Amino acid sequence: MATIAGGMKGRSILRRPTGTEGIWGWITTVDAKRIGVLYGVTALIFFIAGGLEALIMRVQLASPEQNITSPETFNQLFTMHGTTMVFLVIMPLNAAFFNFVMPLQIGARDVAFPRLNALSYWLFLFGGLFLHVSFIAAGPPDAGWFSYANLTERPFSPENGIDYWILSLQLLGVASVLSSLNFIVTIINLRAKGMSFMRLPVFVWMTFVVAFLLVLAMPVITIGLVLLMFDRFTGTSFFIPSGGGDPVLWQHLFWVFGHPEVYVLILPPMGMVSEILPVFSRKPLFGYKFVVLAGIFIGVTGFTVWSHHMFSVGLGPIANTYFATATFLVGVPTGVKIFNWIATLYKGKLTFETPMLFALAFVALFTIGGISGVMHASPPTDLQQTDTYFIVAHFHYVLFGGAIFGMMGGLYYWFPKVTGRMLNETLGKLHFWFMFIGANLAFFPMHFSGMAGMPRRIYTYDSDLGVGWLNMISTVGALIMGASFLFLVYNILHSLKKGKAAGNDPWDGHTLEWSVSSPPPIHNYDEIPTVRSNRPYWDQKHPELAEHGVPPPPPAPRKNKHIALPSPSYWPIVLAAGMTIAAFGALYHETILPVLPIGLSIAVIATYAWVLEPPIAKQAEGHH
Amino acid sequence: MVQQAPPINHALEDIKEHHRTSTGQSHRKVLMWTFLGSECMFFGSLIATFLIYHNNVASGPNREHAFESLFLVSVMAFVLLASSFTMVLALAAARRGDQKMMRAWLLLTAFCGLFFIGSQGYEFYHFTHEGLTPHASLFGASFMILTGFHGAHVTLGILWLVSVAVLVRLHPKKDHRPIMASMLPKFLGFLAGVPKREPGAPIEARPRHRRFMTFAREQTLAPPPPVLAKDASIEQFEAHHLAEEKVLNVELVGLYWHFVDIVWVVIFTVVYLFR
Ligand SMILES: [Cu+2]
Repeated sequence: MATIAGGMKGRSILRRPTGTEGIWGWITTVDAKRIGVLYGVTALIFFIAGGLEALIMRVQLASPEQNITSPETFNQLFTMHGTTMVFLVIMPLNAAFFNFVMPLQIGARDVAFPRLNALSYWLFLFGGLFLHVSFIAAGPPDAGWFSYANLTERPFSPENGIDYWILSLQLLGVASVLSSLNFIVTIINLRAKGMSFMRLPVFVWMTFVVAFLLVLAMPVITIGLVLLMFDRFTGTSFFIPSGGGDPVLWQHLFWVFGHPEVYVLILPPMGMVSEILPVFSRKPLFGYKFVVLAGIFIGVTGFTVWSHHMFSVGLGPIANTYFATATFLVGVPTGVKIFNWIATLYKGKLTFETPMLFALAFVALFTIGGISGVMHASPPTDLQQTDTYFIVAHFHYVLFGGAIFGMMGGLYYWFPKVTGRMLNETLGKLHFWFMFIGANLAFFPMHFSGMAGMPRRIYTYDSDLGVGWLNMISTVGALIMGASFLFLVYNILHSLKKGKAAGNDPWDGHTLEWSVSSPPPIHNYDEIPTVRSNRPYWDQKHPELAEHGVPPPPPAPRKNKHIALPSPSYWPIVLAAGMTIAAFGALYHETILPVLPIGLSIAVIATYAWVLEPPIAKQAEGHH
Repeated sequence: MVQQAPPINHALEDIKEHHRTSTGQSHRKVLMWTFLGSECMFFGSLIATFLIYHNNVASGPNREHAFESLFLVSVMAFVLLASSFTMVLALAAARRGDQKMMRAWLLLTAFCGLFFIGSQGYEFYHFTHEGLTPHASLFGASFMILTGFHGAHVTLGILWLVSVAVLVRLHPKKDHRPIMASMLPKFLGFLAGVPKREPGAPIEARPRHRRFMTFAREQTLAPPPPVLAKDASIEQFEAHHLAEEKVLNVELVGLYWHFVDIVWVVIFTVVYLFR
């Protein structure tokens, strides 16, 4: 057996955390696989919160002129629902897969900066909790997930809810920029020998594109939030017309971030589906290069189309024409991907296990959302549809029918690798069909209620509008959808204890993660494999069919192999806590207690302690 | 005759594998370049905001009036640009293993930064007196937030430069304790007047106030070999790697510092020179 150094014991200026067991093992972990699990579990818990908020809204809207929630509560519900689902559910669920799967797929032992990775997680967790503290402290934010100015300014939103929203997004922004930088360096620098860029699994490619999108888009909203903070805290008027400010600037800053953000949400599930479909079709992915290039093209054009969210502002015919054309253009690479997925299925030996069902549903539902998206890429059509339930239908087909379905596919696909046990197929299929039927019942009628003129973000509607029955169907669908997740939760809890043992490779997979045990050892690989093709593990299993020459058998693990692993550390969570305390300090800067300096001091001390402690504790390296 | 291949040094191979990167570039350097890309969008958004609001002078002074004299800001720009040069010299010193000069150039670079920040503070004070405040107009607000964020970057850079100057030791010392742990007893001993070494050691000949400074006065030793020999031993490999990492500490703060300088060139042009 190879000796694995690090991860175990060590001593620094202060005592280095020891051991990987128990709660402290999780708090000080720097193992990307564990951090992935933390991301996943946390995101699923936030998913329950965001889902319940949606269900309360659906119950309120079930029939016209109801008063189950007040208009104020309704505003808070849709704001928290949107913010939660985007920043605390889909993004971190993607991060969970990035962390667990991506290093395994490229043949790395961990990410490039393990402690930075832990910091990203803790910042995300604290940022999410920070947002939810507003429920107790101030009343949650109520200006929608894109919080248009100047509604968000102090004169119109005097409560602290918006401040919680701003500062929480700043923390979450730092978290996702740091983790994205980490993933970029990992993919550039930690690929196994022979794993050229054109041999990266599509999921890794999408991780790479998404990381660049976040690194480049996040700073823009950061500035928007900074300006808004100055307006609210110091009385400037960047977005207040009476002070000379321009609320449309907020919209620009928000959507320059916001549109790439949509691709941040959808590209990783596209990558997951591109992994799942070939495996369950017993074929290589059709047109690998086109799928990858289409993903890159979508990422790049993501920065050139933001104003299609702002047609109703009236930016003028030239701007509108440009943004409409650019948006239509994005439909082309998206279509390329859809046709490649379909061509992958063509003449494949399809089997329909749960991951495959979710992946197929992804293709179908995402296509519906994509088509309605192309419809309001045209300004005249958009002016009819904007701010109606048609838009709600569109982005729920993309983000629920697309992103969530894709990620559920990923969950069923990689759960055996994460836990060593299969999820139950019967429960999985029940989950799938409830979710599929529920989602379509909930979201499809919204197209019609929207076209009939039902506006978004209203707490009730007139019975004369004639959309009561459509809303009732939507509500029933939403409840079915909610129920479907009970199957998932039960399935996970049940399978963790009693699930069928998975073995290394339950699906006859193509990529490297299936070549190691389930769950993988802490160091991932005894010997880093050498890669010859797009499907390195499949080629190892079927050398007679290998397209790129027979790969050498994996080297036998050497007895005296010495693998150095990064040691656990306290400082990531301390630094994240310091920054969160500072955020509270900024919020309550008028209190006597110097919370902000205290938080910043903790952050500075943690930073220096982090820099001064070696990534691998000296003592841990001792035992060869 | 078949020549016997030399036995593979497995331990060395393991260490090489541990340090291997796909591109040959260090992780930290790739990280820094990507981070600077992110920073471009950060400053880009701030500059765009300034350009949108620069004519919005409301009751405050306008651009021509506020930037009547460009003398101070030109000196600031000159000093900051000059500090990019001293930064290059610091890196060059680090590369040839010259601890003393590396420290000197780093601290001089930080000092230039300090001058810049001081002048900016004075400039803000001056503008406030002239009525150009964040509250007077959006021109004032966007100007001060843009230059203020740049100033915050410079401040962070100064902290970083000083940290690198104090913490980076190009040559391995016998004492492996972390610097804070080794400095504190030294300092306390100095205050208490405890002799640092046994009498007779050459260093004792120095006056007491210079004894404390010994932590900053290390010998300039021969630099580690720039190219590693093919048949290097584990010790040589690790020493080489460690030396590279230390130089990289200087290089990284240099990249950041040059970036902050370039941003100032852009700000200087867009904010002060364009009329
Ligand atoms: Cu968009």
